[in-house]
Amino acid sequence: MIKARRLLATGGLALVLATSAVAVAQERGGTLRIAYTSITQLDPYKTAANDEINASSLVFDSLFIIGKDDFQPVPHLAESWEAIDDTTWEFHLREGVTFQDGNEVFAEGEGREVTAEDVVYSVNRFMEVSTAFTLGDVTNVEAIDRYTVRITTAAPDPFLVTDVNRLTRVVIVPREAVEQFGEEGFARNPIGSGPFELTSFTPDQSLSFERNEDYWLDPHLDAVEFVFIPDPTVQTISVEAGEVDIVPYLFNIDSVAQLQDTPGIELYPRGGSYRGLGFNVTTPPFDEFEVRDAIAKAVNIDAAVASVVEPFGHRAYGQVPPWVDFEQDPSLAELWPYDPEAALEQLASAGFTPGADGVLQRDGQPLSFAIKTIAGSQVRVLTILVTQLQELGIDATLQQQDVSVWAEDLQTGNETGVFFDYSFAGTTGLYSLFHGDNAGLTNTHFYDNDEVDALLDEASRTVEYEERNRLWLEAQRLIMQDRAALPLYFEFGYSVVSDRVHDWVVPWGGLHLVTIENNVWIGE
Amino acid sequence: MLAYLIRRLIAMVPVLLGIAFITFALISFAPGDAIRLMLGSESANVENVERLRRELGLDLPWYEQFARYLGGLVQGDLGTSITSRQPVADQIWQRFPNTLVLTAASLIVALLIAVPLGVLAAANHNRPADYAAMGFAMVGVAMPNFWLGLLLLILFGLELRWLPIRGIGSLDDGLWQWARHLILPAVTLGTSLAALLTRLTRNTMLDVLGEDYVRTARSKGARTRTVLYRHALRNALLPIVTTAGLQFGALLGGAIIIETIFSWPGLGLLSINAIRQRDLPTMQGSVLVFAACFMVVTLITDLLYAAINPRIRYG
Repeated sequence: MIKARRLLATGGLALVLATSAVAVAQERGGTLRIAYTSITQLDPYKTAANDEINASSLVFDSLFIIGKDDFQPVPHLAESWEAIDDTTWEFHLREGVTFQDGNEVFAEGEGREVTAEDVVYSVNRFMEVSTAFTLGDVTNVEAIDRYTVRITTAAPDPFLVTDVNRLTRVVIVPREAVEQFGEEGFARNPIGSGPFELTSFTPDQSLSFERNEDYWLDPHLDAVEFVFIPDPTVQTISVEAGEVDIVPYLFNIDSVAQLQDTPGIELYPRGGSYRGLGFNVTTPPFDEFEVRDAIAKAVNIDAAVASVVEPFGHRAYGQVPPWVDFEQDPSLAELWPYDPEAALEQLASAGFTPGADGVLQRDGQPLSFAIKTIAGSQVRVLTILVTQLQELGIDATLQQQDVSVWAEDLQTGNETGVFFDYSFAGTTGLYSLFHGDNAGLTNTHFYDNDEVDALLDEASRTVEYEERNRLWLEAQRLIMQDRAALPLYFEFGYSVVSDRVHDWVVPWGGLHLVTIENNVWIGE
Repeated sequence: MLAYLIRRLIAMVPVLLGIAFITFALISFAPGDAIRLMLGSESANVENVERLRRELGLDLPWYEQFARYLGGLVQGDLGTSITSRQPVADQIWQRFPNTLVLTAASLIVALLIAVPLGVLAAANHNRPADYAAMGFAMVGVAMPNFWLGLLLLILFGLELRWLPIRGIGSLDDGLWQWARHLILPAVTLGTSLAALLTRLTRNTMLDVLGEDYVRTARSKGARTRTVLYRHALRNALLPIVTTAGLQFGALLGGAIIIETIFSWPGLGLLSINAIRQRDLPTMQGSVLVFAACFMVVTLITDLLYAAINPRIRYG
């Protein structure tokens, strides 16, 4: 799957054509109602919660967005950008875009123009206060003229514009608003340049927006209302009942299966998550390759995934998901044959023999472990795998935990050595899960392989796509050959959308209702 | 009476302090913390998260954190939420009235169902009405309230479309609109208490109906209704009120689940979100408010005794 790469985006003639092609039957007006679980603040830099990011992305604009079709950057506040050299990006801002007016900061008709200085301020503030996201090693950001910004990185950094968790997260905020309201106040009174202005906000109660009449595009919707529904089951019932139009994210294969045949509702797939088994490669006996490899051979993953997950996900052979900016490596499939007899032989040669109770043991120590997991479809998949392990005389059990308990256990070294492995599968998931620098944080495998680290580091600095892709996949192959993790499947994510809503794009690094790619509208 | 009230109120202070201490210690020693959750996110900014940990004092030993917390508490400062970074007190006061309305409505629903039904059952001892009432009591207690809530929601909200399925009504839209939103959650939350109280009312009434003064009243020729409500129920009310008061705690606990299902923006929902994200100050603040609430209700229950039974006097 080799796609044409569009690292240097331009104004995009093709995109202009695409928008005018669908602009025929669209209707203006109406209120879009979106279900949410919890929104307590609206400062876009201070949250990792999808709901809060969705809401704040109506008020603010980023320089570019991640495109709906191929996950490539698409112009937004920046009309174009280019790499001046390996470490310098130059962004050219759209002219005539103004901050929202008619509020305490900008009086009606006096919305100030968004300039390069605002981008500089925003990038600096982001680096200072954001806990959820990191920009990487940005050494300098400066305004060249009123509409041109240069961002300099310590090393070449292609991910700055291709990864959904990097520069796309830096929406542009006006300095005046932050200073006038203060950090805490700004989180309740966000003002940006986005397509919708905040009209009312009571945390976890009511949240509504109305069209920004001065926006640089012409939003079809009159208003957007966020509807507080903390229970996921009730969220989908509410779409059926017509109380809301959208559930932005649904990660529940049972609900998906049920909703796919429900009239009046459409499911929009996009992206998803990686789910697997991880090994703490420092915990005995999983510090031995032979043991990890034997566990991998002992389980019939294909059967478990087919019976539980498909068609709402599919088997994973590596961690790099199909929707990020890297190719798939089909040869990884050969790494994972299902061969329980070979598994037993391998365990026997490693010294594990059946004890009196039938459980494999070595030096009087039974091969016994609990797999810690959190709730989700994996509980059923893992139950099947655990049963298969038990049949071979391995005393495996499954233990479901609360997210924070599970996370702490994994980060502090997971005494059992095997755990449910998970990532939202952004572009750099491989780096987060397996790079030695992240051991004890996101790398709960405590995997520390200098060769892999070098490859990942090198790839992160490689601007040229083909080479970056090659390095990345080579690192993935080494990790998988080491059996640091046992990939199980990718589960797809969906938006649940009432069929009266058109042109919806599943949020990816923010909710985008009005862009040069789409403009959500409501029909009957 | 006033002296008694003041004594009771003063006695609350050490209890609240004890509760604050116990919950703080429990939460500190429980596995999982908010900062680790943030660090576990794929894209976390480790440097800024560590700085947040220091800013919030989460790197200090737990007893030092507790001392700081107490220091804030005496000034009415419940701390800052780790996740939303808004003052905990603001978040609580925004939601607390909603929870109070919901639990009070549930209590009223429970009493409105239980008292007439229990009296009916006692008056028709071992007859069909009695069996029907006891059947309700059995089912009502046995049914998990989240399940009942979903069933009611699907029936009245999705199928019949009689009642709104989510959220809190605004009084600006009129009393009826406001009350409509309250019906489903209050009935769901009140059902198990209603079941419990029905059984209690019936049994107490049966005891009381066997008393001499009831026989006397009957033999004087008082009407059945008068005997039941004036003579018997008045005397049977005491244990009912006690139980209802004590069960208020259970209602607060149940509110956590019911608020989630019916999207009721109350304290229960706030605390469950806080627990999920290990937002310690918000958890702590919610527990304190719940505890204070429970103590106040217990006090009110005690005061009600005197009102119901003039023989009881506090001094």
